[in-house]
Amino acid sequence: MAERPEDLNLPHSVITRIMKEAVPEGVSVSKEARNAVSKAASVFVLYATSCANNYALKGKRKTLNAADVFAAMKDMEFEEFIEPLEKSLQEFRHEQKGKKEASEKRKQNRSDAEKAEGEDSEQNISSEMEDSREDAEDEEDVEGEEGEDEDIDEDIDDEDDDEEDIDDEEDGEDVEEIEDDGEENVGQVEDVDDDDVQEVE
Amino acid sequence: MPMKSGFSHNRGLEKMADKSTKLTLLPVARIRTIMKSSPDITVIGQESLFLITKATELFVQHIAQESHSRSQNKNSLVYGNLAQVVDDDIAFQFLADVLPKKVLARDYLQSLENNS
Repeated sequence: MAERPEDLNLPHSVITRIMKEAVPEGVSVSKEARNAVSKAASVFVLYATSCANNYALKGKRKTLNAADVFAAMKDMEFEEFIEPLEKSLQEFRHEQKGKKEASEKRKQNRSDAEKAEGEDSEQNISSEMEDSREDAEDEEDVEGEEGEDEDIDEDIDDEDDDEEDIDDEEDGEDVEEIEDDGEENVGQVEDVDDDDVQEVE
Repeated sequence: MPMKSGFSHNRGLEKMADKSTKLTLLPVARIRTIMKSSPDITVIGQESLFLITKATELFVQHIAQESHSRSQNKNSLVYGNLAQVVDDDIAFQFLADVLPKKVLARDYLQSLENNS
C-alpha cells in the first residue's frame, strides 16, 4: 500500500509532455484537462492491473507476466495498444539481455584468444574471478538505478508544486463546488432519516 | 588489459545514454506503487510492469488524441472534450466515475425535481 495519497499520482510534467506530443503543435491543454488525464491514467493502471491479475489467478500463478497484460488489453478494448506494446517489449527484452550477452561475448572472445595461446589453467582462474566481479557490479547497478529513479521523481514533484501554487485559487474553487454539493446531499439524506425515526416513535 | 578499461568506460556512457533515451517516459517505480495499492496483487513481473507503464503512456496519448479530434475548438483541449469522449467511447467507460460530464447545479436540481 502507498504511504501517502500523492504516491498514487503520476508526475504532471510527464503527462503534459505526452499530451502535448499527442495533439498538434500550438494546441493549448487546460490545467483541468491535464489533471483529469493524470487521474484517468492512475485509474487506468489499476484497471489494467486488475484485469491482468485475473488472468494470473486463472492460471494459478502468483506473478503477473507479459501475456497477462496483453490479455488484459484485449479485455479492456485497447487492442490497438497490443502491437506497439509488443514492439516495446522486444526493445525491453533486448536491453535486458544486452548487458549479459555483451559480457558473455567478451568472455568468449577472450577465452578464445587465450586458448589460441594454449594457457588453459590460467584462463579458468581468470574467468572465474571475472564472474564474481561482474555479479557484484550487476547488483550495484540495480541499486543505483532505483536510487536515480526516485531522485527524478522528487525533482518532478517539486516542479509540480510550484505550478500548483500559481493556480491554487482556480483549483480551490473547483473543489469547493464539489464539496458543497456533497454536503447538501448528505444534509437532505439525514433530514429524511430523522423524519422517519420520529414517525416511528 | 586495454579491453577491460574500455569496458568500464563504455558502461558509464551507456548509463548516461539511458537517461536521455530511456524506454519509458513515466517513472516505473511510481507505476509499481500504484499497482501495489491494489489489494489482490501479489508479485509483479518485470515485463508486466514495463508493459503497463508503456500501456499507460499509450493511453494518455490515445485519450488526448481522441478528445482533440472530436472537439469543435481545435486550438485547445479542455475538460469537456475529455468527458465527452469518455461518454461516447465504450473503451473509456471505466472512467465514467472519474471524468463525469459536468452538470450545472441548477440543471441537476431541476432534473431531481422532475424525477420526483
